[in-house]
This record gives sequence, structure tokens and C-alpha cells, in this order.
Amino acid sequence: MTSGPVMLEVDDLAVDFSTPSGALRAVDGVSLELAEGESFAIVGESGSGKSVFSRTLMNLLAGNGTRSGSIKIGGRDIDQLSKAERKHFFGVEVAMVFQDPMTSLNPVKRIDAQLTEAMRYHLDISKSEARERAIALLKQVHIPSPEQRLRQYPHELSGGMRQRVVIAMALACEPRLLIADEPTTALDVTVQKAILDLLDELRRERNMSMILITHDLGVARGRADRIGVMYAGRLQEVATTEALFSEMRHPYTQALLQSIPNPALRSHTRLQPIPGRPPNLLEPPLGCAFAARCRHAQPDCLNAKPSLAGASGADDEHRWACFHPVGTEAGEVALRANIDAGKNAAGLDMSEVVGELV
Amino acid sequence: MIGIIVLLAFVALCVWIVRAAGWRFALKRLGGALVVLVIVTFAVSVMLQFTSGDESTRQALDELGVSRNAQPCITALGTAATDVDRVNECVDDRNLDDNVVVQYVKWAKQIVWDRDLGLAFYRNEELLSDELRQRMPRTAWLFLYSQLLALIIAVPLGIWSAYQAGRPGRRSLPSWLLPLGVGLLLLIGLVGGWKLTSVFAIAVLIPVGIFHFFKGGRQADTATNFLAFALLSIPVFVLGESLRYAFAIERDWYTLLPGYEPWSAGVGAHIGSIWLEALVLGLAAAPVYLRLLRADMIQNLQQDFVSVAKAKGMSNTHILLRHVLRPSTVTLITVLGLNIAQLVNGAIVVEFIYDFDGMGSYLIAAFARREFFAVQTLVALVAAIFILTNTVIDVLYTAVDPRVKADDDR
Amino acid sequence: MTNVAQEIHVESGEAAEAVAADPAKKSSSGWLYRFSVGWLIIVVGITILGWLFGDSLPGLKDPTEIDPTNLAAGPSWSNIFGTATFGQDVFSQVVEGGQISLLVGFSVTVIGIGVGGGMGLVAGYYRGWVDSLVRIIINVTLSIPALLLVIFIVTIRGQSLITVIGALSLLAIPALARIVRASTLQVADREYVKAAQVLGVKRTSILFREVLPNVMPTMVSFAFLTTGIIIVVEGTLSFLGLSVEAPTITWGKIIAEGRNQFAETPHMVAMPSLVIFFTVLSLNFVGDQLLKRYDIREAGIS
Repeated sequence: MTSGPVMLEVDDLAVDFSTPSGALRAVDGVSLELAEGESFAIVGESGSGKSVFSRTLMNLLAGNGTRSGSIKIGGRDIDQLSKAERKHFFGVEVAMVFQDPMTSLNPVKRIDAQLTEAMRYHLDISKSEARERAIALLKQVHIPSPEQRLRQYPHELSGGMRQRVVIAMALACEPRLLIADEPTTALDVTVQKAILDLLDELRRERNMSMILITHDLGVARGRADRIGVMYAGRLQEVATTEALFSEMRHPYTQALLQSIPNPALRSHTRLQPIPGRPPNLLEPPLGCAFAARCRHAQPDCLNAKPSLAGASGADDEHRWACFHPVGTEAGEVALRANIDAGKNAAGLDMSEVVGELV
Repeated sequence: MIGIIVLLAFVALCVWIVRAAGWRFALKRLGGALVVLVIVTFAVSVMLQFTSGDESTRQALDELGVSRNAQPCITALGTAATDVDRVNECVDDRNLDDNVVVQYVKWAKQIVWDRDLGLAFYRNEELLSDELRQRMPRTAWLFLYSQLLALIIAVPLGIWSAYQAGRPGRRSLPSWLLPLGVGLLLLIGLVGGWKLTSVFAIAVLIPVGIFHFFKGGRQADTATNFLAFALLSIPVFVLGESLRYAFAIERDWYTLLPGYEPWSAGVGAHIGSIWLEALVLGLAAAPVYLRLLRADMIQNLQQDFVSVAKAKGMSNTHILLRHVLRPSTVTLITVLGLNIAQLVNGAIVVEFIYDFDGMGSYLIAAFARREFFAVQTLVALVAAIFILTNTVIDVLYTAVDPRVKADDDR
Repeated sequence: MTNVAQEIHVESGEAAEAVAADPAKKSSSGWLYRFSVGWLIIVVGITILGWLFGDSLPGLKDPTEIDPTNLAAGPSWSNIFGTATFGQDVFSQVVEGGQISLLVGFSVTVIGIGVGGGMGLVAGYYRGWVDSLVRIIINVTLSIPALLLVIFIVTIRGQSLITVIGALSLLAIPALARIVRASTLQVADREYVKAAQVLGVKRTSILFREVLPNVMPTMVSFAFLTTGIIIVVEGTLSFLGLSVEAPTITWGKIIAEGRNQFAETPHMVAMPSLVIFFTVLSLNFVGDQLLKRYDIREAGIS
């Protein structure tokens, strides 16, 4: 399905948190494969588990979280690393860019120290060598007068600048996989595009794989080879970017698209909010997690979770987890039936969701 | 010689601070400190006016042929006050016939300009500076050792505790075991005597403590924190009295009698004569530092930059010591400065309990003998040391932590 | 907790952890909290009963009564805290001593909260010259070590109950003023206070209806902590022989008396020490727990 050697292989990953109100499954059975040099975007609203997923990949799970399922990065299972391998694995093979550049940098350490510490620790190079590499890195992320910046403290830089430094920090040891967790959410709109373009450029230059976590389908559209839509801890639809936008299958993907402005539609098209709210993960629904908010929901959606599969099985390029997908006969039938009934199987008033499509 | 070195060090420190924090900020803070110092010393002078007695005393003194305001001198001279000449000389010396402001200005001028601290005992005309020269080093060593001890206890334990707080909790001994254990101890105490109880308690507590220490996890942090809390709640005089009983009375680990031995008497004798006092003060200060460092580090450990450092693959030790400890150190130093006041309180009590001839016991003695002139100077001195230290730390803070923008509000 | 809040917890791993840390805290500190409150109720209850009924109460004796048959005896069923050098019942002494210690602790706290809290509130809310003045007062008073200041005042003014309370209040007022001022500054910066200002609500009514209720929890927590500290300082004063003059009994005095013949009457040091320790520990613990319970940063999502 994907070309080239496999960079990342996630198999049936699940993350549970023990909270005072009970166990909570934040990521539920996610499987994913990523080729070398490929860029993959995970899109979902807040609480969908996408951030937990990305932190799990970096082995940054909080103390009360437990993980099951396997993660292989560059062919190596992260659970079976020897102690010596593990020491120089995270930060070298795989690196991460975090959401908020304001808090990602240690406020009392100079840029210099923060940029070079990982290089000196992992690559065992001299101080001056690390400094030269740091200057080169800052140039690569388009920071003017890098020598000067190195001596500064984080609070002396602007938000966009800081995020560039954070990116440079992540790239310091030349990782083969970069995870960017909402890298632009905390930034001004004007800076967002520049940062995204920079990430894209660096990825192409270094033939690096990238996972881009975002809540914004628009961000994902231009920069990802493939997109996975996440909802309630599960991947609901995985497809190449073109396929996802042109022939989306999952009703949630469709709802997401209709809830954001789309230049392709005629102007004055009314945006369609998704009614209701995500399910309470402490008491997860028995069936499809989206059923309560879905136009297509039928009785069978309430009783069983659909698995992620394509038209001809689990190996397809385009897979979705839906019994009544959009753009198929089953889906059309379900939608018609719900419109006729005035409500879906979970009791959602259809007048709330149908809007202009009908 | 030593004076010159200290002076040079002080000048170097001032230059560095001023360079790091900037002229305006340093001057502003130093100016503020001076104002506070003047107000404090003046307030002490005003309060001393209460010792002059009421109008009837003044009239009685007038009739005796001495100054109306001689009462403080008579108190200070005690039995020697029968000598009218000495009383008048004292009144003259302390400028008691002037009003408060003039008295204060003359007093301040005498100290700052003539570098004359006045007399410690009016009766036998001992110089206060002589007394200080003798006693100051003792209390200074006591402070130094106690703070070192407190830091040696608090810093590693605080770091360890903060680290354990973020680790997953493990199944621990059930909490109902504690009241059961306490009940059992009481029972043993009533039946078998209290000595057996303490042996039993130690025999149980130490293994449990070691077990917890090695197991780590959140419960270990909770336990450490609670122990610190309990230690914090023991008044210094109770702590000092208990340790005196345990180490100086029950066994001979500490000998009370010879009193303080200087370094020149040998390292063993010096440490041997001061360790218990330092331990009491250290144990009193340690939980303050521990709780503070722990809380500060936990807060820092939850910052994003810790996740970033972890994602960079840095080791836990590196993150704890290089990323988290450093900002926390700044907080710790601030509290070390503020704790000087607490230390003075502690020194007064500890030196009283152990008959340690330092500044604290001198203060108590001076109060008991109503040596208010010496007390006035001493209070001013202590306040000056306290204010200046904290101002220096305050300015240092700005130099060390680049974020601080001289926030005057908090 | 709402659904949304829960999800935000999950999104940030650490926050989820903070929540998860709670149940352990609650179960272990829950009974400690109850124990502390129980101890305080017992201590205050016995002290008040002893004050009301004196030695007519069963178990209590006249603390000055000499018992030549029972000199300097250790704890027994008839004298549960043992007896002093001349056979006086130590338990009765502790009960009577508690009257002074607790009275000083409570009254100083009330004065401290009333005056210091008021100062802090006004300074933190109105700012301007009032604030500058209050800040100078705070800085000046806090720059003399507490015990030194109290001893100074007590030696000058004489060792009466009023002087001791007054001197200790002089410690409590600036300390509480500083805390309340900081808390007020924080609250006054919140949106709802600004909103009320924009809506043209009178400043005094904002102070009493918006700011004060939000500063109150901090004040109450620190009231407990202050009472503990004051009891310790008063104990220290008595121990040094500088608190209220004889024949009034205080906890510190019993300890000071016991230490003079330590070999014979160690229980005279141990028993009041334990009572002070548990009382102060309980006060600190209750104050600390209240502080945590009301601390928005720890309780909320943030």
C-alpha cells in the first residue's frame, strides 16, 4: 500500500488512563504504517486522542497511563530496545515539535545551551562543533543572525522565532521521523503558514517522515500525503489527501469538512456545525462513537464498532470505519431512511444536521 | 588582612550585581533598603523612650539632682547608679536630654561615622564591639553549619521527592495499618515501658522507611512530604530540649560543659562543641527548604519544556538537575535569605537551651539585665544584616533569572 | 466534572495525572484531616471545660495543689501526665496552661486577620498611596526577626497578658497583611472584578461582594497557620521566661520548669511538648488542606 521502506509501524495501539472517575481509553486500537519520507496528518477535534497518540509515540505517557499494542520506529520495536539503544533513540531516530513555543523552551537557559545539549549528549561532539551545527541549524530554519540568537534567552524572541528554534532543536540530531503536535496552533495566523512551509521544506530536504497533528483540515490539506481522521480515540478514516477530500466515506469526515469554510463551494454556503458533543470516554458507547451525532446512524451502528477497512478489505489505500459510508449505496439508504424518520437511530433530530445538503 | 579580603569581595560582588542588574534597578533597591533600615532603627529609638518612665519618675529624678531623663541610665547602671557622676556621664554619653530625633541622629552618627558601637555593660564599661568580636564568630559558625546541614538534608530529598511525585503510584501498605501501629506502640508502652517502645518503633520504622525509599512512587513522596510537615510543626525549643535530653543527658555523645571551642582548638574539638546546636537549627530549617524545593520542582516538572527535553532524549538526571533544579535554586536562595530571621529566632532559643555563648544568648542576657543601649544597637545590626542580605539576593535574583522584570507588586 | 473538562485533562497528560493523584491524596489525607480536626476539638473543648468548671471537673485537680506523697512521679492512672516536683498534677497544669496559650493564639489571630487582613485588602484593592504605606509598614516590621521584636517589646512594656498579645499581634498583622494583599491583587486582576468595574458598580461594593469572598478562603487557611505559629512563639516566650508572669501557667512554662530537673521530671517536658506538637501539627495540617482545597490552580483545569 505505501511505497518505500516502512518508517513507522503502529499496531493496535491503545492507551488507558486511570482517573479518579474510572479508567479512560484515550487511544483505542490505532494501527498505522508510514513510509520513509511520507507525511501523514492526523486530524481531529480536541479530546479525540490525537495528542495522546503523538506523546505515546515519543514514550511521553503520563504516570497514570498504560499502553498496549506495539510501536516500531525504523523497524525497531520501542519496547524491545536494549538500554544502550534506548539511550540514543528518542531525540535521534524520532523527534517532536510541541504545540506552544512559549512554554517549550526553558526560560532560564540560553538558546545556545538548549540547542546543543541534545547534540552533545547523543552525538558525542565537542562544544565548538555543536555550536557550529547549531548555527547551521538556525540558518536552515531561516533565523537571521544566528550567532546573536544563540546568546539570547527565549523571552527575547518572538513566538514564531521560538517555534523555529523548537523545530531546530527537534532536527538537531537528524531524526528520520518528526512528530509535529499542532505546531501552529499557538501562533499568529500570519506566522502559521511560514512555519508549515518550513516544516514541509525541511521534510523534503531531509527525506524525513512526518506526522502532523492538527485540528484543522485546511492545514492538513496542503502538506500531507495521507490523512487520518481521528475521533474518540479511533482512526475513523484513512486516505490519501486527494481521496479524502474528493470522496470521503465517513460521515464524520464529511461533517468536519462542512463545518469549516471551503473555497470550493459557492460563497454564502452556510457552515454546518456538528451537533452534540464527543462521547464521554469514561462511559464509551457500545457501538460507533459518532453514532449519536451522525446523519447516517442506523440501529446496527449502536451495537457494534465498525472496523477500519476499505472496499475490498483492510489493505486498501482508502479505509473507513463505517457501516453506512457516505457516497455508497448503504449510506444513501441510511440517510434517506433517517430523513424520512426525522431522526437518526440514536434519536438525533435530523433537522439539526441535514442543512443545505438536502 | 581578612577585613581587606572581605571588603574586596564585597566590592566585587557589588560591581557584578550592578553590571548584571543595571544601575537604576540596583540603586532603587538599595535605596529602598536604606529607607527601611532608617525607619526600623528609628522605631527602635522611639520605643526605647518608653523606658524613661512616667512623669512622677522624672520629677523624682529631678529632685535627686540628676537629669529628668536619666531613668534608662539608672536601669543600665544598676547598683552603680548611686554614683551621680556616672549617671550624668551616661546621660551625656547617650544624649538623653535631647529629643528623640536628635538622639537618633547622634546615635547613628556614632555608629556609622565613628564606628563606635558603644558599651555592652554600663556597669563595668565593657565595649560592645569586644563582646561582638568574641561572640559573633560562634553564631556565624552555628548558622553556617546549620544551613549546610539543612541543605544537605533538604536538597537531595527534595529533588528525589519531586521526582517520585510524578511517577506512578504503586500499591502501598494499607492506610489502616498506621492507627493500628500507633495503638500497638501505645500498648507496648503501657505494658513494657517506653524504652522498649522506642526501640520497637525504630526497629519497625527504619525498615519501612528504607523499603519506601527504594520502592519510590507517589506514596514515597507523600510520606516524605508529611514527615517534613511534622518536623516543621515541632517548635525549636521542643526539638532542642529533646535532642539535649537524647544526646547530652541520656548518653554522652555531646558534652555540654566546655562550651564552644574555636577552630584553633582542633577540628574535632570545634565540631564536637557545636554539632548538636547546628543539628537542631538544621533540622528546624530543613523541612522548610525541602517542602519549598519540592513544590517548586513539581511545578517546573509539569512545564512543557520538560516534555521537550524528554522528547530530545535527555536522561532523567539531566532533566532534573539541569532543567528543573536551576530555576528552583533561585527560589531556594530567596528563601535562604528570608530564613535568616527564622535563624535568629532559632539561635536565641538554641543558645539559651545549650548555654552556648553566642549572639542569641547575649541578646537574652542583655534583655534580662535591661541593657537597652546595647539592645538598640544590636537590633539595628541584626535588622541591617537581614535587610542588606535580602536586598542583595533580590538584586541577584534579577541577575540570575532573566525573566524577572523588577516586579514591585509581589 | 463536566465532560469537556475531563477531555482537556486527557489531552494534557500531566493534568490527567494531577487528577489521578487526587484519590490517593484524599484517602490518605482524609483521615489525617479528620484526626486533626478531632484533636483540635478535643484540645479546645477540654480547655474551655477546664476554664468553666475548674477542678470540680472529674480528672482535673488544682494545678498548684501540693501532694507530698506523689512527688515528681511519672504518668499513672491518677495523674495521666505525671506530677511535678511538688506533686502538682501536670495534666491539670497543661489544661490551665492551654487557656493562656490558646487565648493568646486565637486573639492574636483575630486581631491579625481583622487589622492585617483589612490593611491587605484595602492596599491590594485601592493601590495608590495606601498601598505604598502598607508596603512600607510590612517591610519595616518584617525586617526585624520576630522573636527579637517580641522580646524587645515585652521587656520594655512588662510581661502582662495584654502586652504579650499586643506584641504578638505586631507580628501577625504585617504577615497576614502581606498574604491578603497578594491574594487581593490576584483577585482584583480577574475578569469578573473588571467586568463589575466596567458595569459601574461602586468600588466599595465590589470590594465586599466580589473581592472579599474570594480572598476569604486564603484568609481562613492562613488563620489556622497563624494560630499555630503564634502558639509556638508564645510557647517559646514562656520557655524563655518572658511571657505572662507567674503565677499564670502556660505550656512553655511547664516545659521550662520540667527541664530544670530533667532527670526527675522528663514527663513535664514530654507531655506539654506532645500537646503543643499535635496542636500545632493539626492547625498547620488543617490550614494546609484548606489552602489546597480552595486553591483554584490546584482544583481547576488550567
